[in-house]
Amino acid sequence: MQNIENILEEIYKIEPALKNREGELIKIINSLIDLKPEVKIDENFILSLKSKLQSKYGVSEPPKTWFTFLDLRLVGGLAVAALLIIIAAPFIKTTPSDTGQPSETSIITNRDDGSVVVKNDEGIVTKQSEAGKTIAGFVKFKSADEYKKYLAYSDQGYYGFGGGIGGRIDTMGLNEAMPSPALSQPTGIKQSDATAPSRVSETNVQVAGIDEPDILKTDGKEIYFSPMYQYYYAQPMPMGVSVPETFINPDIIEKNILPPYTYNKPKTNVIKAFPADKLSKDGVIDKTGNLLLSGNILIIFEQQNIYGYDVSDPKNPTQKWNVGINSRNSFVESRLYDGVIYLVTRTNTNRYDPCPIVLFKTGGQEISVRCENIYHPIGSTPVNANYHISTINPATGKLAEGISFVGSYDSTVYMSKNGIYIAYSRQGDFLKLIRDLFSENSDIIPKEIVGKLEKLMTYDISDSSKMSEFQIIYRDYLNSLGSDESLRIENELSNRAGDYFKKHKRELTKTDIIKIAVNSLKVDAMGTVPGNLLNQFSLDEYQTNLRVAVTIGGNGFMGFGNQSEQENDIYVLNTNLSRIGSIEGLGLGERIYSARFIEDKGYLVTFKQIDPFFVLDLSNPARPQVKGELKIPGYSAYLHPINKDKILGVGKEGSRVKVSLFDVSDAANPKEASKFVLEEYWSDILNTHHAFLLDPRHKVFFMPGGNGGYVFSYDSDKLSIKKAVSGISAKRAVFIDDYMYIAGDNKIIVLDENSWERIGQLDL
Amino acid sequence: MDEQEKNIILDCQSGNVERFSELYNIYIGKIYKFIYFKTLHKQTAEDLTSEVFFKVLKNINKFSTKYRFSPWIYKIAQNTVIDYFRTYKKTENIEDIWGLADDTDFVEKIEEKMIFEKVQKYLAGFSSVEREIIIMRLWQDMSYDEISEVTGKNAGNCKVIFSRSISKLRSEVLLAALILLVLHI
Repeated sequence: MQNIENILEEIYKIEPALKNREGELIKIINSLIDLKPEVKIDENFILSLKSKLQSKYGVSEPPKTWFTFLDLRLVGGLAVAALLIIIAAPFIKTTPSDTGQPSETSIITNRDDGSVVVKNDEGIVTKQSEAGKTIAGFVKFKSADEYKKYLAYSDQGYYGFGGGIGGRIDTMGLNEAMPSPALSQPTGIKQSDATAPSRVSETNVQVAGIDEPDILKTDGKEIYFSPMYQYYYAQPMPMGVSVPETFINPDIIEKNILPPYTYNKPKTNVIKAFPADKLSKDGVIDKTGNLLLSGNILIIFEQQNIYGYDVSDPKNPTQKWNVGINSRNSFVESRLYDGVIYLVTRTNTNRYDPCPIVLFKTGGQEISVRCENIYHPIGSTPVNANYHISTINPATGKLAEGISFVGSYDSTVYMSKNGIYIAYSRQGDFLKLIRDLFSENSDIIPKEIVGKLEKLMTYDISDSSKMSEFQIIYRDYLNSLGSDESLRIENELSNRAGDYFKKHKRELTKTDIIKIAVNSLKVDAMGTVPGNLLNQFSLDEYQTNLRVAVTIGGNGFMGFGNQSEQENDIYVLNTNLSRIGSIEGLGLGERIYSARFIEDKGYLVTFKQIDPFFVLDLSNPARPQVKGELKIPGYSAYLHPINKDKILGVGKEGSRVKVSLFDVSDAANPKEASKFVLEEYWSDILNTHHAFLLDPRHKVFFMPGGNGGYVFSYDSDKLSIKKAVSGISAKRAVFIDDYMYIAGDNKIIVLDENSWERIGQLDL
Repeated sequence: MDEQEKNIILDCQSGNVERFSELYNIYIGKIYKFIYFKTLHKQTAEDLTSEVFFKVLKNINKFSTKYRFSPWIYKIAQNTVIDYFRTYKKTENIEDIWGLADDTDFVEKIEEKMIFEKVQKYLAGFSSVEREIIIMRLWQDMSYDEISEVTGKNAGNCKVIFSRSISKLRSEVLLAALILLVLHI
């Protein structure tokens, strides 16, 4: 323990008068120190978490035999704790009669595989046509008790080990023609108006026409800029960006003058941006966060509040409405489409006080959801979160409830013009895998053990309890053997298990995808694919199909699976989210770093040491195929189509930021037409595609870096720096007419795109 | 930032994720304690610590080595704990167990309950920032430089907050003693 003298000295420096009270101070400090609760960290926990982390991305620690991992003698109760999180929820016993009975409004579809899909207000259920047995479904809870029971069974604690950052939304569908650069007619300005710009850039989004919240928006006249990212809710980490705070000078403290601790709340700036020579600050809104702009209404997502401001008079923005997000509810994502704000929020499940869940406070009223209005998948899915989709009318702030359903914390949200897709990963059914493994190895595991497992699987108890039971059964069996034989069987089984899990790696982790219809906000379809998604760009709707890029393996299952077993699949799902085509086994030993689907092509970057860039031909959805492959050093974390033949990749090579221009005109032979490695270790594009701006008129794109902002030319298929802008902590750029505005934390710099001279600057 | 940590992170970012375990070794104890003092519950502290490391691993590519690593990971730990308490408590601004009013049902074991009640008498009166600094300084034995990294406030500011908190506690203790005295008289 530190010397109490030091602590006292420190205090006296600040408040010398306390010196006279030394006796009291010592007593107080000692009693505070004495209060310290004893803290011991469990060595088993340290080891077990380490091994789980290592298996997450396949870090290769000498592979432990997996039965060692399950061995009660070694890990004791801890194995159970780990299992709680990994294992899927058991089956809530449902019979066809109590779920999704066809009602008058039911839509019934017969599928090719003989199953029947029934869709109505109560949800969606798939049944075997003959026996009428429910195979899968997504239905409402019948009661609060049923909800509680479901949570108790899906006993995986408060979070999933999926690594839930959650809420990353990728919107790069570009199912609208080619990704012509985000470009629009300036809102609310007549084209013929000589005082209006002829072109304005929009936020770089995934699906043209569906806007995504970002820290900067413009209507061609004003720039709305909220320099501080709301990292906490969208992505719960500071990313090295801290809240700007005004600190008191330490010297002043030393001199014992005690200025108050102050905190400068960041603000949203309203900046007159057009014409460029009139750059000035029009107004300020004392709220900050990601923004959307709908006509004259600026929407600000500030932590637990959403505000609507009328900005028709930019000098006097006035608050028109406010929707409060309840403290138990948190913002996941939002989209603006066709004059409606779609809002996805998430609450953690609470076993003790499950429902009703208060979601919002608006107009003096609380808006909550009852258990009976929450949907859940039938069968085994571990859940630890509830998702809620709501809509807001941007003009009035009127909030309408949409739909709520359970899922896991690690989610991906993607929105097309037809559907909002929520995808979350879960672990496969471990007990079933073990049972199958045991059955396949009847020479070393007797039939009665398999029989016991089968019986165990039917028990109406939680999965964690089943796993404890399983361990007892297995240990009892080993104990019944002589120690030589026991050792032999353990080794034999462990060896065979390696091959077995390799063969079944697509059953280890699954991703469930729920499609919510945009027009009705009702469940439209649900489907499952193996593996994990990377981000929103892993999903893409084109015509009536959904294309999905997943990484299989490598994230570990009970400590198996290492990086060498990773591979990547592409699945094409139809409108019911049933699989109609696939490419399996891409990039063996590597995982997906970026994906982009553009019409009937797909581009995929997988990475371990070198960067294979795959060109996929998806013109026949039932028979997708790899057309070409290119291997180059480094990786691309974001892919942006420049035109039909060129794809730009932004990523890293070694520790430096790299930009690659891929020539895909010959799909069978993709080439790296040009490459540029920057003296930068980081670009915000690696974090969000919103930071990217393409200006096709001038054949340039903008990239923020740590040391400034960069305007790159891709003219003649050659990457070169057109303009480097120093002295700004660049975040975003927009263009209005032929002027590029580079926005940083504390200033905006304007470049003339014809000369690339700086023509203006505004300090914020 | 610390050169060794920087190298490990850069290595992780260029694909050599094996080195993550070195970061893990450096931080596991610190983060566990940080969370334990906020939750006073072994299982919860283990769960949340796991979550923190999974978040860090998942996002290590997004970390810029221009910044220091330790404030980043502590910030993640802090947010994870806040998020956790939001789940269980409807009250606003709950950042650790010490700020809970009378909801001691959260504390399960008798022994822990006693510690909780005792400590809460002293610590619940502080703001979460004050409490955080007291805990880091007195329980976690962290220097002001380290505390400054975690809280994002400069070291001088942390010193002021600490001293003022102790001073505040002193006057409260004195007041309580005075009342007792008056009552007894």
